[in-house]
Amino acid sequence: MSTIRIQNLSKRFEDNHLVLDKINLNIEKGDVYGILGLSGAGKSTLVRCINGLETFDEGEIYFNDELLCSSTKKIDHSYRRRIGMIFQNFNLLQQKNVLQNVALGLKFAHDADMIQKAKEAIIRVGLQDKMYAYPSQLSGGQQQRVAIARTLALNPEVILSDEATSALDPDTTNSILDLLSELNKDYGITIVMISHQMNAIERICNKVAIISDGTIVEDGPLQEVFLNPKADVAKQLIYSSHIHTQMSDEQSIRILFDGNLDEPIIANIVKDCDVLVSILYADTKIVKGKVYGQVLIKDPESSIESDKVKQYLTAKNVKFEEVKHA
Amino acid sequence: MLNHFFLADVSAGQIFTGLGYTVLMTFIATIAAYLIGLPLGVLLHLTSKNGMLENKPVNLVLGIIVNILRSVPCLILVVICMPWTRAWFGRASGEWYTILIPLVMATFAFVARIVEQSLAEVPAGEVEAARSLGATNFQIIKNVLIPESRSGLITGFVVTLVNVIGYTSFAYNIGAGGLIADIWTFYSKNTADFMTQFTFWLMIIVVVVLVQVIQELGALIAKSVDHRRKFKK
Repeated sequence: MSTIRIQNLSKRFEDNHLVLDKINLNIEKGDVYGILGLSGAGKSTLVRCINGLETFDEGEIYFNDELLCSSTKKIDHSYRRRIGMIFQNFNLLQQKNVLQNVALGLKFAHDADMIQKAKEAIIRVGLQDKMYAYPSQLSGGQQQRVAIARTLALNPEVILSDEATSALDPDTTNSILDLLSELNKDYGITIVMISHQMNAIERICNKVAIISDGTIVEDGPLQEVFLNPKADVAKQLIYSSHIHTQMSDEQSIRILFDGNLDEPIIANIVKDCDVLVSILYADTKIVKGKVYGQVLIKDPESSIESDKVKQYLTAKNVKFEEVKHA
Repeated sequence: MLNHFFLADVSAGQIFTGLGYTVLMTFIATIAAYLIGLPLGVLLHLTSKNGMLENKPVNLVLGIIVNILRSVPCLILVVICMPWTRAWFGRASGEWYTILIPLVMATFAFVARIVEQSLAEVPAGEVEAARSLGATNFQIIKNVLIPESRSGLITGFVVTLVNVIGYTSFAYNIGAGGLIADIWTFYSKNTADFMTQFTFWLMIIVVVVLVQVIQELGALIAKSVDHRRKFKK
């Protein structure tokens, strides 16, 4: 059963520009689903369609297999409480303190226990010392925690995150991402996270969709998409965030670690091929004892050596590809 | 004795009585103007472009009504309102309350604009966040738009009060009294030498002090209820 299913969703802006073009997306319960795209790709519009902050022209969105909204059916207020949202600019009410902000959704729902539930949510995000502080007295990271507590207090099934960490520094970003990841694990809250930051998506998502010019160009499990992006935009997004170089015309070889490679491959290239390779970039991590990631090596200048390395890698059944940096 | 400096027709007691009427008519008229102008300003905001209830025709019609009312000179309104005042109070002139209806008529459209402006300063993101928390439109008005813009609303209220104090000068024309009308009366009886009369200047100083006190007190309250980031230090 999918928690959120988006079917053939299309949207045009007033100037007739097609922002979203027949989007299909299936988000399952417990997913941390990343939607990655460059600015203007339509990802923010897409996520705002899910809780009805935007309307759309064609298609349907289903929530737990029930029709949530469509081009003709407006979303019901009560569903908004089950689908929380956090924003890039936090959007806390500036004239209300932390407790009042967190209790806001409960107040809208006429919840008799609102103070108690709000306090619990504040404690859960670790801001028990700031209960009566005003947003202007909090750091960005703390404000985003309040925003998370505000949706958490309503006990949501889904949290939509609209570039929630884009305004934060790297350390704070990670702590917010980890908090979201914990909420996903502890309460089974499905998270839909849009971002233009590859690192943010990579840190907590299990699935990812890459959106470009209003269409989904690639989607699937995170490792699959990130280790071997096929679409040009996907490659651009995934490599550019990792490699900031001026390697203008340089040719390199990207070796993929997909969990099946169990040998010191670089050392072996040097030993077995007798070719000295230089590593341009490496990013690997060990998940459940297996190595995932990628290593980028400079393609040897002599074509003999280069072919030797490629043949060796092929023989060893190692996934690799040639990459040319523009 | 202070009265020694006064002409026979104006005493210190009369100045205080005049001040009392000015304050009374100003506050009652302003509060009444807000009873009409506040909902109207909210409606103007909601129906404006990208507003929660965006509605061009309604916004246009309300806007035109407000603009017309704002452009009619107050003195004309005083005359136009006389039949209503008579119907309501049984007389159209000669008592302090006979100026109330014209003051309200001259002010509520101004209030509507000022309220609309204050509400427009609430960041759209805050309204969106409230919507994403399941708020109804009415809950957004009550819990987000008005409380979030309260500092601006208080400042607007003060600006309106000062405006209405100015409008109370037209009380002179229908004999409704108040300190500013008294200044006119004093002038009309002493056209030759009013500039050298202590009484004249004293009455003006009292009006200036009244405006100052209202303005400063309002600014103080507006600041004390504002929890937004303060850049000054």
